[in-house]
Amino acid sequence: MKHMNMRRRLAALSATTLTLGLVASGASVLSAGASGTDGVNTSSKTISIGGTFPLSGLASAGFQDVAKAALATFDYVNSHGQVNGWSVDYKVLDDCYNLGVCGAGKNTDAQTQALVNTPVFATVGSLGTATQQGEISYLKTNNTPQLFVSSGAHYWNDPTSNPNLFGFQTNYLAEGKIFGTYISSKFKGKKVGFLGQNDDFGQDGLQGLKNGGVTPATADQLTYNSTDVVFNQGTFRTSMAKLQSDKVAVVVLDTIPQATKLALDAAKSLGFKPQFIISGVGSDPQTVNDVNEKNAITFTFFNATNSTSNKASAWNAWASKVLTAESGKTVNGVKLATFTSKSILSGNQLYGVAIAAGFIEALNKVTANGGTPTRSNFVSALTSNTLSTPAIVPLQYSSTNHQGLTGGYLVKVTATGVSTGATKAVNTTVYSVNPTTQALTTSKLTNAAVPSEFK
Amino acid sequence: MIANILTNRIVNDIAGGTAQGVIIGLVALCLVLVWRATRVLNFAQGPMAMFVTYIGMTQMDHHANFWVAAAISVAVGFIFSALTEIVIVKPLYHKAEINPIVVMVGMFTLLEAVASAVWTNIPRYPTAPFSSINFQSEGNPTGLSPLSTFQIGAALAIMTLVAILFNYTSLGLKLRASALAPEVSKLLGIRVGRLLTLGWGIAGAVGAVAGVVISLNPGGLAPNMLDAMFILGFIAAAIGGLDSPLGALVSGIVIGVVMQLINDYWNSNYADMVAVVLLVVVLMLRPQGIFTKNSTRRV
Amino acid sequence: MSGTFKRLAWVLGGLVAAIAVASIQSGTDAANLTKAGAYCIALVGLSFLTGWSGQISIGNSGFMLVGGYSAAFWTLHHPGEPVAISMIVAIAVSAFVGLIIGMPATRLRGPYLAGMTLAFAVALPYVPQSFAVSTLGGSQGLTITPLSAPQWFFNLFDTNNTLPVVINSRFTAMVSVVIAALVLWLMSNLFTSKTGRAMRLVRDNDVAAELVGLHLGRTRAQAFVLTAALSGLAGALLVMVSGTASPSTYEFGFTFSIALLTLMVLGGIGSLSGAIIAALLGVYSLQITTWITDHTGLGPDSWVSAKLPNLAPNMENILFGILLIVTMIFAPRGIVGLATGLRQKLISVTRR
Repeated sequence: MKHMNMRRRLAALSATTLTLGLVASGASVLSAGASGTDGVNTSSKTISIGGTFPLSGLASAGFQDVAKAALATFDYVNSHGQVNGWSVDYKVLDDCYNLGVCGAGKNTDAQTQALVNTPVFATVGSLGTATQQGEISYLKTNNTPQLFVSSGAHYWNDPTSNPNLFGFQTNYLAEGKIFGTYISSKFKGKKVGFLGQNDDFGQDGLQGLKNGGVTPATADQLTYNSTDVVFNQGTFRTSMAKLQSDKVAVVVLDTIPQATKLALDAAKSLGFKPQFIISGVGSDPQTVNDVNEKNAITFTFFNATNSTSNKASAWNAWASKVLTAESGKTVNGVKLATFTSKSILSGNQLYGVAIAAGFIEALNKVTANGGTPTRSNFVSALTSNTLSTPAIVPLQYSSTNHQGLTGGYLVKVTATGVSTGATKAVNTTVYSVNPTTQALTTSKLTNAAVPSEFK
Repeated sequence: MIANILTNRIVNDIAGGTAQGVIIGLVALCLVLVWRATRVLNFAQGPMAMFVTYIGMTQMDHHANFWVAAAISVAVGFIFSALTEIVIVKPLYHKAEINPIVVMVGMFTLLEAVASAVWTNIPRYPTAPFSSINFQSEGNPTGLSPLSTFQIGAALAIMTLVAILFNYTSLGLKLRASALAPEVSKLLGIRVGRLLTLGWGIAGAVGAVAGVVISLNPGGLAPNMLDAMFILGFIAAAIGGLDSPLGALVSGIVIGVVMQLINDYWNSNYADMVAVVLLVVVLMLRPQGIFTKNSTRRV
Repeated sequence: MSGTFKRLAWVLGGLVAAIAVASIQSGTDAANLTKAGAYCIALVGLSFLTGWSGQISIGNSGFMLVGGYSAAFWTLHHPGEPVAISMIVAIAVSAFVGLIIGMPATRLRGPYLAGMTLAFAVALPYVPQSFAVSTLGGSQGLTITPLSAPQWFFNLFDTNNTLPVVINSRFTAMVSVVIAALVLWLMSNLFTSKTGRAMRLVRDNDVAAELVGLHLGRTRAQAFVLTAALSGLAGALLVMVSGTASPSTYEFGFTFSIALLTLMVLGGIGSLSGAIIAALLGVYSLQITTWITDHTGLGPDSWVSAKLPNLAPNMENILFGILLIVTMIFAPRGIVGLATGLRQKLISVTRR
């Protein structure tokens, strides 16, 4: 290789630096202009919010449905009555879940920074525990609320240090306690085994199980690494073999969907047929897509999803209507999924509709009587109201509790497969676990009405 | 007595580990074949195999049976890999070592993106003609199922074919000659260029077998299905020595078995690290891998 | 060129760049430039290792992790101390790790070195995740308060009451660009120094290098230490801006090592301007892709996307893959090499 002489190299270098400076300081060539000072445009009555989700790469199967359903809901509401004259501009950015070879621009840090600098009013529904934990400090410093984080970790409920951080879904501790309570009444005296992810997901799940009165024998408390689903699939075989030789009758899986599938298949090949009880995070029968999942019991905070659930639940019916109306549209550069009135909703789709509904409900409170949304009045609307969403438990925050949903009920997998997977309620008992005291209460499932602002 | 052995925990682990290990070994073998032929580290080995596996196995949606689909994958694998060599690798011989690596990273990126655009990231599960339920012995499961027996068998068969081709045929002799001494081979009238292409083609076909075999696992057929296997395969190839096909297979199986033993007897959290630790130890002791004969340094 | 003039040019260029960056209007561009500065530092480090000492490393994300964690750890335990000290700690720790990895690595060549460094990058995120969980925060990582603009910066550059968010991003962009410029200056001096020449000799002809009395292992190890130190600095910079060092940080995963390698080659191996171009290409790749797809009718609304709904989210990688292949075949010396070649052709034409 020949080398340019010093002078030329220097000239080239300063030219590059200068061009870069000039390009960047001029009118922003490559990025969209800002709207308002906090993402609220009072003249067009538009509120800009954003979220990061995996739309490509390994984690996008399943999870992208959350983003697309939320986007569909906002777009539908914008064109069907708006929210007191306000519309919501939801920017969904692909963060690839920080996994795999996805291009240097697609990661949670870069995409969150892009949103914050746009600026957006808040991030809403951004997905992932580790990915979102990495943004807490940055969003806090830059005064951008982090709302409805799509993760079952308990880290989002810390109002003292993070007043603008809000969780959404029932956490793994509560889910574990509900499993424990159910197992100790329904499978009394049966030997219970546990396989959980080797992080807060598995650890909280196991703790919850113990809180619910079920403590598996130490030898039957097994873990796997999240990377094992690609690097070390053999661990699921040895785990299932151990539980089998210990004659375990009930196996609780706190596993992500790929790991659920590997565990179910390993059990099948060993001829091991326990009752599987699977965390809601890793059980969506449309994502797991494994015939061996049939008859497994799982947890959900939505109504069961099957061909008749739209009749049983007004919210499920509304979600189906929205997804059907928005089927195949392109909104903010994202192509929405194809959905017909006959399609069976997936848990991920209901989840997306729910985060959008939660935001719309709070916006509805803030903008009633001609109010203008600000970050502070929005946060106080969240903490002082009970918000109606497709979830079967109310979305309720307070100044000392930012957990979000606190309960749900148990369903059984009745069919599996992409777009055919379905579930059915085990019974109509809805459990709720107080996030502070961990006290468990029960109630009966009701068919909540959809509020009038959702046309 | 025999039943006891067949359902013994360690024996089961070794059997299960071997089923994983042969796949690592197959990927490593592809890398070795390409390296021996053309001194190129094929970073796109995984996605190339994935891509042709998709092309073949999706024919099962159009009523092709498994064997036909697998044969299509292998044939397309051969052609695709040979074409890759002709079109994008040939211009890079005798250039800096890093250039072919980067071209293959480009191929990697492109193929995975095209695969997920065309076939989406939702995995497919081709129906295998073999059951994945383990053989039983006196009511207890053994470590192998008809499926994993087929997977091990297929890998060993391919390995044997490659060994026969290279060691006992005149074509194999020419292949080895053109890889080791291209100038001398040219003087002897061997068409070196074609043989290099053939070397890539063979590696592509072997890769397709690895792809078909792994697509029958619970992970199924997905755009990223061979990424982890590529890393493990690369490590296996480096441990065995990039010039040794036998070394690739042996170290692949060793990695698979040791990982499974650690899963069972120690802590699965440490199993991922085995390959890395093995690599570091081996390269400390023998910088050119275990099975490579000491050779003089190329200048 | 005289030393004084050279220094003056650098200082002037740096100043102009800093002021330009500090007055960028778009916060998104500022955030992108912040990242670009850090990427540029990492790229210069890698470019030096590969272009000047001939070693291939797929492990630089690991050094970035070491630097990022060191900076976060130091900041957590020494609150209120200047940011510069955290950066220096990060450089020192990652240089030390570079030495440990570099000493055995110098015995390895080509693919074996690539394999060893790849293994290092794959393994490293497990360390904070599985070991030393109490000190390194496990899968949560370490959290610090991110860098934000001081009052004087607001006074100087916030002329029309812009958003504090955007001012913060402009400040971090300025810091990042200034540090990157400093690194570029130091490296351009090193390239022409005795050490730089020794490394080139080792790369081009190790036998000759040994004959003139150069210690091959030591020279290669030096290069490794330097690349590790620069990667560590880049990692620290990213953590100071985002406020979090975690095993799942994108830049700390081995895929980023591969991304760095490809960006470096696209820019031009061993070239400083190449590193700048590559860094910008890295942070703007998504925007560039969107621009291209929007202007060629390949966007999510197009007829192709109607047939292949999953095409749009994968378009970036499709274009990037094609770009890599085409560049390597037709312009193996990257964008900078292409530009130099074109200019030389132009000059020879005009002189005729």
